[in-house]
Amino acid sequence: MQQNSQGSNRRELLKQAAALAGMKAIASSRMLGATGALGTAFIPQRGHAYVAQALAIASTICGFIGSRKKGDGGIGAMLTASIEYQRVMAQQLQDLQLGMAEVLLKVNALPAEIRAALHESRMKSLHAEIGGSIDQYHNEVSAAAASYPNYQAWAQNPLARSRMANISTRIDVAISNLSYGGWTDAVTSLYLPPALFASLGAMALLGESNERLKAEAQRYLDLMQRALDPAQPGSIGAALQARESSFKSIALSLQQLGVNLPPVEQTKPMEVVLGEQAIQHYIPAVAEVTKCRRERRGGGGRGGSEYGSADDTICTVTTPAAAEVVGSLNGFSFKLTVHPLMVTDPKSPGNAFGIRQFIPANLEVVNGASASAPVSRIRAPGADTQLAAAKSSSAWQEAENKATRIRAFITALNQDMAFLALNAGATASLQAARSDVFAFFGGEA
Amino acid sequence: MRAILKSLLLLGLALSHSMGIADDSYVRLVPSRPSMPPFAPLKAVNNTSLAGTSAELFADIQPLLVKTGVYLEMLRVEKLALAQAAAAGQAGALLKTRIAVHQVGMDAYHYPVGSGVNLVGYGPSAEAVVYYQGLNVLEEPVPKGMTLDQPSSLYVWIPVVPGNQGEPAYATYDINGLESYLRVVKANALARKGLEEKAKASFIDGYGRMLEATAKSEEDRKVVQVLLQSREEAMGRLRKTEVELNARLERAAKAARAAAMWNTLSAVFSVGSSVALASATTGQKIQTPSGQTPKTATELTAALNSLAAETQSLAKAIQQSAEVQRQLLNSLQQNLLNAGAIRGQPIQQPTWRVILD
Repeated sequence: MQQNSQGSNRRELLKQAAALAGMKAIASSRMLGATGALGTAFIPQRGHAYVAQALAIASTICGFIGSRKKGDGGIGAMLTASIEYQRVMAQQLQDLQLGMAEVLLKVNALPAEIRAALHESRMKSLHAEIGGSIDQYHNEVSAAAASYPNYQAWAQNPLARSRMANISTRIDVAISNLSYGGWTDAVTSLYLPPALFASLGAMALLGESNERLKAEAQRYLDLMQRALDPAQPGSIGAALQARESSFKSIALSLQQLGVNLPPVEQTKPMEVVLGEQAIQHYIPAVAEVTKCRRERRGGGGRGGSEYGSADDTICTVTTPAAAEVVGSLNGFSFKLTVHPLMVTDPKSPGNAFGIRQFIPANLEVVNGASASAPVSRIRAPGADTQLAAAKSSSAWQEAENKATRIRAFITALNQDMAFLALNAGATASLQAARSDVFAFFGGEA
Repeated sequence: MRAILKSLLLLGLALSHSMGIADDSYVRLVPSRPSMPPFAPLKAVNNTSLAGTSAELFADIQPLLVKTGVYLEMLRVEKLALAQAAAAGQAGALLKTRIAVHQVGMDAYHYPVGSGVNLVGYGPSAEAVVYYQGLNVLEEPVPKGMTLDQPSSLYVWIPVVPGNQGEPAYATYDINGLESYLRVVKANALARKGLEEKAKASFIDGYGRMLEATAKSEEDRKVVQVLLQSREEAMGRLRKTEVELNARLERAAKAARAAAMWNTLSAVFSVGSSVALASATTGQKIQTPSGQTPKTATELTAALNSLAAETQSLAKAIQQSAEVQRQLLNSLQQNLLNAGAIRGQPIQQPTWRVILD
């Protein structure tokens, strides 16, 4: 088999893949020890930076689910009138806000047009308003409240109440903008849960009735529902539906090109033979004419056989026609290896959400072909000349064309998987937040 | 009488039947308002006005009622209507005034249509009375060449118990406005259900309280009290079951959505990540039939499909239970009406029988 690269190339590929995603690629020993040879270098493809950031964002968002349930009851713990309760909730909100800050940082790292696609400006405005309110809430609950003898004293203090009213108003304005603007995308909608719980915390301290709190929560639940509705243009639900349909269509196109996506638990590289060519060394049985001269008719000659007449061209055949040379027949296959891998966010090892990606290697030539491979008979006495002949064949060109199409499909598939992950993470986050809201009021949904 | 009640109770229980699963509903923390907001009255006449004469009071509602003399008929009908409403334990009675106008040049001549006033009915609210009694009533036609005078053709709601000072005692409604509004409610399944349930419950409440208050003997009172108590409990149980049912339906819908979505998503995430996310999305633990965590994408999809089927089947069982409870509640309400009839205090005409069918 022709080995165009060694193990170091494989490691290099994985390294590049991980660096590309800004994340950790989990490769199994089976993958590292894969028998298929890799191309000389991984060719970066357009769109990968976009995918990498989407993956990083998706992983952070999915991580929210993992960090949701904590020993202290989490954000969905049932509402009680105590400073301790408010502290726990404020801390949870801070954690969520830090997560969102990380998402925003990752969005900031994207090219301008993609930042616009992810609605960076609206994210920034929400982040400032809601984040600022949560910070204020956290400070009030963690520091200011400590100077009061009990919850009641704190809750009745005019200054504390004024601060809480301010928090509530700021959040209300931010969410009204979100609602009015119909912002239902995956990233923006993630501000709903922290905003809701901060608002509820502030309103509870202000002594609002349970019914009033429920009505406020319902307003947020309606917005979450709108974000999850596939019929709502630009929503998480619509994005999921669109990406799912695109994913299926690409998977079908790949299947038609011979690439069948393996089950997710399978990490073995996929090898696809895109063409074959057999090369046979061959010299045909033709006489070799070595010398010709012009001679007048009737003239004599010496040596060899002469014929012709005056003013005829007289040629001398120095070698008689030899027997044809038929050398060895070697078959070559043109193989594309596609590496499945799972990428995770190394920043949150506890929430190792693995998102699948595929990395296609370069098209390579390997020894061996089927009996039906087309045979090309040419003068190619050595292994090197035969390999060169195979790589300049029309079968190779055709395989290259197929490989280019497969790579383009895989790039699109990776994008779809990244954005499916992002939107699925956001869906799960909102659904979990919804359950938390019901738990907060002592119910279950 | 107890034997009759018992048999009616058993009949109610036996009437239970299964229903199909309702459409996927969005469970809300705060119940939505399936019925539209109540139709606001045009004008409310305060009790303080009652200090004056009848003519002054009705002139306050609409001067033409006094000018055409319709108010005298109104006073007569009102007296009768309030007696009937009180006998049925209801909140008030509704009258409808109709005055036609004949325009001759610049002059307008007003005439009452028929007597100028009809008793529409009594009940817990003006909306409920028009909904059940007023929408399809045949009325005397407006004479040829005349039209109904809008300002003086009104629904007038008269409460049995006058309000405290400052609280409206009389309320008037535009005929076309209120009727159009109720026709829209009737055409909308959710709004219709909301209004009918509310009207029926309020109607029975009032009637039951009246029976309790006017019981002639302690035994009579006890029978009514037991029925009222049982009804209260049945309503509580039904509300609880309906909450549980909604939650189950929501869970079933979530599980079905997740199962459909995860056919694709299980090809995107690692199996462990898929299980964690599917669990967060459905709010339920995802397990294989043997109680294990799914190890492959196929196992996960199968577990989600099975969860969807299981929750749906549980929802169906609760729905059947809710239907049994609804039937029991209906039979208890019917028993209350029968108890009143046996005691010689049946609901007077114009009846509200229609709502109890």
